[in-house]
Amino acid sequence: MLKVDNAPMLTMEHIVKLYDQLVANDDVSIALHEGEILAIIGENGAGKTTLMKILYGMEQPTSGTMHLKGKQLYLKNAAHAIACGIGMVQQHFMLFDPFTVTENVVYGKEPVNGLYFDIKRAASIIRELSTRFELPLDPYARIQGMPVGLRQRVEILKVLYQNTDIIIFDEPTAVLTPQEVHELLRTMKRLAAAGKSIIIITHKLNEVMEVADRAIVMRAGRHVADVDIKDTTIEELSYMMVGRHLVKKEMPKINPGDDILRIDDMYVQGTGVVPLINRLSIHVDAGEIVGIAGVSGNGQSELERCILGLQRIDSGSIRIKGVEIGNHSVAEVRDAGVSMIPEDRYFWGSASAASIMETAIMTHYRRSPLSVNGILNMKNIRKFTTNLVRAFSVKTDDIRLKTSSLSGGNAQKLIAAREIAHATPLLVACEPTRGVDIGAMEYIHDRLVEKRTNGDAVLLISSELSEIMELSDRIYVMYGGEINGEFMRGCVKEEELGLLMVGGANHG
Amino acid sequence: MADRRIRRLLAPLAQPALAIAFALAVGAMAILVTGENPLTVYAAMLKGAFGNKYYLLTTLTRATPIIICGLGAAIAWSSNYMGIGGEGQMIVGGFTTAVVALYAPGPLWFRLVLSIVMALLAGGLLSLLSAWLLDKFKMSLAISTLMFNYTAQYVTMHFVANVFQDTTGDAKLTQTLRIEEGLQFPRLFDGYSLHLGFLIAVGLVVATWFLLNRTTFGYESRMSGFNINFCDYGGISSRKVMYGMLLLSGAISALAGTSEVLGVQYRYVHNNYVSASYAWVGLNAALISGYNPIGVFLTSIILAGIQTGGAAIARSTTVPLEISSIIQGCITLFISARIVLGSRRRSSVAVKGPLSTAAPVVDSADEKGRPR
Amino acid sequence: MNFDANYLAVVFNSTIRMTTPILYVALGSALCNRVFIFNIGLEGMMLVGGFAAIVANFYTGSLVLSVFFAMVASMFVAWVAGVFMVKFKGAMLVVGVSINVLISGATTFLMQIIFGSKGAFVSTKLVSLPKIDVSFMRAVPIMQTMFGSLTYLDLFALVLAIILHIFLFKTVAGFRMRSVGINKPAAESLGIHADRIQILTVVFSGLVSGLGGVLLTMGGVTMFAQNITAGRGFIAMAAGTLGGAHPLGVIASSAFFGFAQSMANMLQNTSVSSQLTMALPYASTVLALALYNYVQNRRILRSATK
Repeated sequence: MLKVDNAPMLTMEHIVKLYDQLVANDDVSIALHEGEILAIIGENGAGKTTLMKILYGMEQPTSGTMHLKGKQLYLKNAAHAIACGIGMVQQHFMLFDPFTVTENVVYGKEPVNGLYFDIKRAASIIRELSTRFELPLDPYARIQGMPVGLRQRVEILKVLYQNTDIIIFDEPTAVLTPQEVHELLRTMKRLAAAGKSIIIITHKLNEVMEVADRAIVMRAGRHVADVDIKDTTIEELSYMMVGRHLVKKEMPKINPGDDILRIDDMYVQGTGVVPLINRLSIHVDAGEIVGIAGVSGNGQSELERCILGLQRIDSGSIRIKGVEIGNHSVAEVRDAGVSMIPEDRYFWGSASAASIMETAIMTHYRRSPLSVNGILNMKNIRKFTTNLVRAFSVKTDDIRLKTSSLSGGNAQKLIAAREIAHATPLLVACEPTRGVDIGAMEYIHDRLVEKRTNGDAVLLISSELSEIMELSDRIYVMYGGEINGEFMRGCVKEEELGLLMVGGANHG
Repeated sequence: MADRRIRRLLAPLAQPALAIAFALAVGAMAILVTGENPLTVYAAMLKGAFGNKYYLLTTLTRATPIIICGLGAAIAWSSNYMGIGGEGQMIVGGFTTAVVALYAPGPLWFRLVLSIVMALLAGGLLSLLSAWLLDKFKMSLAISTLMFNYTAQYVTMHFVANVFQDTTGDAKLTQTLRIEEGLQFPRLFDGYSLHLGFLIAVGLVVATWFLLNRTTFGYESRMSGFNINFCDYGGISSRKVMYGMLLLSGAISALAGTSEVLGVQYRYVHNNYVSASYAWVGLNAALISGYNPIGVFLTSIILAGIQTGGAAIARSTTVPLEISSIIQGCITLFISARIVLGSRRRSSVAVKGPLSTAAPVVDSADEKGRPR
Repeated sequence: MNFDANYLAVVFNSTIRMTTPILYVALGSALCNRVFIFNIGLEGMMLVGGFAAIVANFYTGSLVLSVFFAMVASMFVAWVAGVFMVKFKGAMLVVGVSINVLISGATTFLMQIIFGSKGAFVSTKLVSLPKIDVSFMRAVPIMQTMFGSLTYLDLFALVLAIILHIFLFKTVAGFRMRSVGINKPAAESLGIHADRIQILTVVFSGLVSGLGGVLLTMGGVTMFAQNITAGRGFIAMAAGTLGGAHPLGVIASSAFFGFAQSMANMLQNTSVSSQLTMALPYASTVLALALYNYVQNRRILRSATK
């Protein structure tokens, strides 16, 4: 229920947040009224999570102010935010598996009876809250083994127990089943009706249309729109979210050859009720760049890992030139002709404390001329690395320096150089230009096109729609662990793709 | 430009140097408690360790098993497999060498070779057992190797006291018979204690350096220590690294026992290695020098010097020889503090996978690709 | 050797006396495990407690001061270790090993400086811990054998285990402590001072290990010997793990090792090799832990396939 009262309960004015050179939030202002459900929407990297971290006290703004109920707000940390009445149901749950629902909910503010933890009183409080807000939970059930939907319910109860006026939901439906999503949206409406003010951060526009009163659209750190939901449509929101000018790349016409990569019916269950990957089938031919568009978190990481052999698939097949590689070791997969630019360059793609040379020769070291009979040939290794560095313009003073001395963009270029140097029939490039400067981005793009022109296959997995559209001969869209669209280059508009990426219907 | 290069070269030395400085300060305080003057005591220690040919060679003799055990520890710890079984492996190595040398049939050269080979096998297998327990039962290396240290000690003691004891002579010491001259390691300088074992140690330093820096296996192991996820991604078998490295580590530590038996005592003497703490000092040398083989060599000599120096001043002053353990313990303690000098956080991304017993996986970069 | 009731009573008694020092340290180790700290330095903390007790004993002749001084010394050492492990993030193993080397050297060093002895120190000036008077059991002589020669510190070990059990599972402080070991980032994000809790736990583990050390140097015999702990700290760590880091479970696992040690002692004068029996506790630790892990894995597998 929205109070017609015009004075907003909470305002954030002219928030700016800088991380070194990166502008995460660029003069953003929002207002929240009592009993309102406000959606903050935008792509990955648009700055919405940063903004909410500031509101929740986990980060300090570089400049800008906040006011709550007329008084200015200086939040020191999350506990302070809670004390001021701002609670957040986070994307990554902070739960203790071996503990019960009750123990998790009252954590930090436990009811006591003398010296003892009064579990019985705590449980009855939980039961009461549970009933009042229609969030059924067994107070004595252990978190371990609970499905995600129920875990989230526990997180919501935590916030209700803290009795906050404002509740922030960060990407709440990312891992819920459609039924659980439905439940959650109904819960939100109930909470709003009970007087709570809600902010939901999301990229799922159909849910926004269903539950929100107002929406703020963020793009590249700025807020670009502030609309009443009843005055807008899902297409309009989608356009505001992703619409931008494209730089058309000149790609020579190539007739794609045989199948290089063929994935049939891949299924990965994972630990939740919703499968991570659900009957996914794609193929990439020689001389093609195939892009998989999608918002991060819809199964791309799992797909990436399964192809390389870092994660098991429960059923289905992955074939390289007809040879099955599903559930094989990474060494076997690479030998079969796969190389990969990984999503997380520091976790998978390199070793920060190792030298640039050492990072550059991963997997290459096994073969001549870099090693013979198990002995490394340092001269050839130096030559190899120097060539890589030169070919990809990796800015470094000395290849014997630690890999951590490279900037993010240069590290990514090094990794791209290394993987492309494998000259394998298939290259999987995952978020290859994430967090990378424009120059490096163009460079990597040119190299990917080069590989395609040479007749190899490139699978490009990226949440940057412009990148996908610029480079791909064919585009798949991935949502919720499934493919929900396939298009040829030039046969689809950005808005359509954007819509599919956020779970909208395919009109084509 | 040259200035930066010098700074880069010296940077890794900064932390050990600082730790040594602090440790010497603590040692100085302990010396003050005894009523002596730290400066004169330290000077005497220095002289007693390296002051003349006799002292220097004694120090080097003492350093020999320390270097070898240090190398064994270094190769295991540098791949992130932190076992503390050097003492047990040295014991089984020394014991096996003595027994085989004394009782094996055949010509001299055969017995010598066999005794060394069997020692390597013994130490290697003991270490391999710990690796297997880690792999199949997730039993922490620290616990299993520790328990094996004590088990090895008592089991060998049993055999030496009841089966292989030297019953010639009046004193009933827990030691084996004396090994004949033909099998003993020759001395390097007449009249001084330094023996062939030292050259073997030097050779091992070179070999270890070569293994770690010039072989594919060494590359795989070092990268496992830097970032095991990177290794998984690159197709390196972490199991192969674990078993291989721990096997080598055990074999090398056993060689330290061989060196002592064939080069110093010419018999296996119960409790000798334990009381001298060779393996622990070796481990400390590995920790202090950041698992660098050449660093292990130098640090072992320094630590051995602290010990012989300590023994020297224990004779001439009221300062007990344990001053060396105090200084040593402080050095490693201060080394453990991640006093970051100029470099950012160390590489150790949390280890994951069924082979580790450590903490959960952490995403090392946030959504913008910045390292956390 | 008669396996009669009297013999069994002697074994029982000896087991208790072997168990209690281990139990103290094992409880400390268990608590450290609960906050995800692998405190290998407990051996050193036990040693320093025993040593400090003897020093205080010699100079004051007061039992209370001896115990007090032991606690202060071991808590201080533990505090240093805790700070290095938590604040400086020194690899726990390195810190623990360093502490052990340091304390081993320092106690032998000080023994020589203060008392002028190498190896061991005994003195008629030393007061020993009084034994609990079990003469009220004289009606049943076998009970007197079973419970004789025990000190109050022995008894307190058992009491401590029960107190810790209540603390850990019934109080808010214990609840929060357990949470730190389960999910430290979550605890921190929810406003708990996880670092502080970890350091305090290490300090407490040092405290109780010090008490264990007092039992060693003032319990059965009253003396200090170089490295008198002889690896008991490490056995206690194994006992802590084996007992599931559960105070009541730890009583059982400590008793297991106490029993093994007491059997090793009793078999010393028999035809069974004394050295092999001394190896028994250490070898059995590995076996017991392997078995424990095996059972745990089976349980996890079974529940996953349900």
